[in-house]
Amino acid sequence: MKFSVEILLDDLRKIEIRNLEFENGKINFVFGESGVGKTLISQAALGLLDEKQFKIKINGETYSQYLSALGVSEMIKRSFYVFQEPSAHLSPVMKISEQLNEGKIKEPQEKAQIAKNIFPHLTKKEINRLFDVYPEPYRPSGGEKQRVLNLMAFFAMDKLSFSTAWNSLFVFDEPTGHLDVPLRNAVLSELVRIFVKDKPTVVFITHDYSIVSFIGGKFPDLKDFFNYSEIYADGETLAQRKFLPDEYLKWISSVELLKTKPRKTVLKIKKRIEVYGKTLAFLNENKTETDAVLREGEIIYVKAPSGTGKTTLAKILLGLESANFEAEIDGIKLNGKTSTRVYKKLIYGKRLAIAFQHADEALNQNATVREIFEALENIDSGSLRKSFELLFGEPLENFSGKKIKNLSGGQKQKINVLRALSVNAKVTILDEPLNGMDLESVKRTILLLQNHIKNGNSIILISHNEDVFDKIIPNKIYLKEV
Amino acid sequence: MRIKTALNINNSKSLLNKVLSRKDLRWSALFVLGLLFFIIWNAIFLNDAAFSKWLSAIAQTYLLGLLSVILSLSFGWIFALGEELLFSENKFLNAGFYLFIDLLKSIPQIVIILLGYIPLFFYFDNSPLVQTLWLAFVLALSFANDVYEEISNRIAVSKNYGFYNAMLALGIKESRIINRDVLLLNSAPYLINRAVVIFASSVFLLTSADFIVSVGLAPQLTLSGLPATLGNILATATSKEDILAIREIFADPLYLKELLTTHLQGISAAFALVFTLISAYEISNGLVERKKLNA
Repeated sequence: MKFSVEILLDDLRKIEIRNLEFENGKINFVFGESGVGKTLISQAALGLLDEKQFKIKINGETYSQYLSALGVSEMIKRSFYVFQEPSAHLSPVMKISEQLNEGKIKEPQEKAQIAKNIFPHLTKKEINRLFDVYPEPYRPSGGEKQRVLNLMAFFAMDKLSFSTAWNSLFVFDEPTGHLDVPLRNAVLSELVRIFVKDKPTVVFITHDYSIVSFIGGKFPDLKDFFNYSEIYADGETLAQRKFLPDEYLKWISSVELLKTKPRKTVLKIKKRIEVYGKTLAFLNENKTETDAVLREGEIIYVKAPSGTGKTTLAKILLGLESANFEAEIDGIKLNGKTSTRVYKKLIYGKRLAIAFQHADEALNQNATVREIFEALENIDSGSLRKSFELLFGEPLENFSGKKIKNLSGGQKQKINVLRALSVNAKVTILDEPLNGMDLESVKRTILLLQNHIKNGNSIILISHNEDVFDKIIPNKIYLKEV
Repeated sequence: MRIKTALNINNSKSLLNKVLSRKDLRWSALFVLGLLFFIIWNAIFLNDAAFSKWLSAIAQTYLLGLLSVILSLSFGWIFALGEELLFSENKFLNAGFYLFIDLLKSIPQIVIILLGYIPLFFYFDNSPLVQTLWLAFVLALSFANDVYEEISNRIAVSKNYGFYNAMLALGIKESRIINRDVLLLNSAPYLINRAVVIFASSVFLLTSADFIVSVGLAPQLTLSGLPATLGNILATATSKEDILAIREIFADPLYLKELLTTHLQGISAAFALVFTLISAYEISNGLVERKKLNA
């Protein structure tokens, strides 16, 4: 399938890509920075965009001409789109079980098996209970909703026959973003298992390059059915290039541990934290409870399954969530009763800094890049320029007048990370720092982290990306609900 | 998203097109042009004394409206920032602040303004500058609560955005976050909208208050000794006769010519007031629609 897509967002912004190719009968993994326009392009191909909102041209035709073409309308009927944000797809007024039953499937047993495979920790009874609810507002969780949506796509894919599969398109847009690695792998395995039956065309959009390691290792015999490409900004337009999994695998196997020279203890958190009526505990490599200790010039990797409370831990340390805990950072004792005044005067920006997980939320979208960095006090502008160039491969001046809202997701995330590190606090918390970045940016960010700890600063790192961080961070601690 | 600097698209949109396609800009332009038209028309048809009085009344009313906007925005900003950064630290200061705000809220605006006239009659000297500033201060005080609530609301909304806490946790001063990131970068349309509403409300309230205190005075006098406002002009017997003359059109439509040439003082004062209010209403509505502001 080949698409040339042009989407005019408004008077000034336009997404354009020529000859975007998805190979028929294969799973096409599409990588690239988040926010470059992958989602809009794929939604346009499946007729999901509103012509009143955007001016769209596909393969030289207007959007309505494209959608009414016989082959396309037939394809769309058999296709399925898994939205990045599952709430956008699930109806709040129908129970999940009713929504799942809309897609008929060949064998009822098969349906139960698919559900069991992607909810491996739940019994059949628990799965049925989970499906017997309306998807609003708090239950199921984001990860559960995402798997429900994947389940719908799998049911639709399983319904296909060999004669219909050739003209169908299944788009999975960041379908595992809310899942931890074991659950992500369960979803991927199930996708491949169902795909091999009739081999429809699948597009799997992601910026999680570690998928390559899993797919390559788990399904070596099926490698001809996987196609990898990257979408990237080429001047004013987008372009697609081949992505060679071997190059990634070679890079990841060659990545070395970050060099650390730990000095005196800078942060100590008591082993148990009580928050929202639950107790979280730190465990060491031997799975025994321990205090979390971080020394100067050291980086610690906090690991936990999705939803345990890694981000909550960061907010607790910053006094942004109330909890029962005890910690000491560079001589200042912190607990659930520490006043906001102490945080503002002694902690924020001096002893602790953070890059929150979602750059879209952490950065003021109406500010320019210059304004983002100007807000920081006492930063070394020379070192900021160097770090910026290391991270972006371009001087800061090229970006300083650009508004944050006009940058790609990956660029926003790099600015988010760089801003937190530029403060030079004793300890910087980085929550999912590689979110939305392409591979080149990932490599550059690792160099930046290395420079930061070399200067004697410390980092607490929270991430699902075990493929990368297990390789580079020797010091790990596990967070578990007890 | 990739940004395409579509110069060809951008260039084709002239400034005129931009003004015509945006309701707030269109009405701003209409207001300025309309005002100029009134001035030229009155310069031709009003006698010199009446024209100069009318022009001075327009200038005095708008000047007070503008000063009221500037001062009320400043008061509201000081109250909101004080509440956020200062008063909450001290419970007595906090209680005093809320008592003051509650008091301000509980008195009708027109009463605040009429009370503000008392010192003008009894305590101040005849310096027009001091008197004008005092009147603007009183007007601004009556609107300060509206601005304070608008700014407080914007700060509260912004605290739900991630960037507020993200910046705070990096040691960035809260006053900077509020002033620059919340108010300047994320609330400017809200504040401009509020300023337009305050300007129109100030003009209306001032005219009403001046009308009330000027009834029965000789045409050349004002109670405070300040230059006349639209309210003073409207309160004169001549203006009332001019306005009552409108009914003649219903009997004789050709009387319109007379109305627009010989009854100009009252008609143009009333029309300037109504035109200002309608323009402000349309500018504000246009801004709300274009910037998709929350009510």
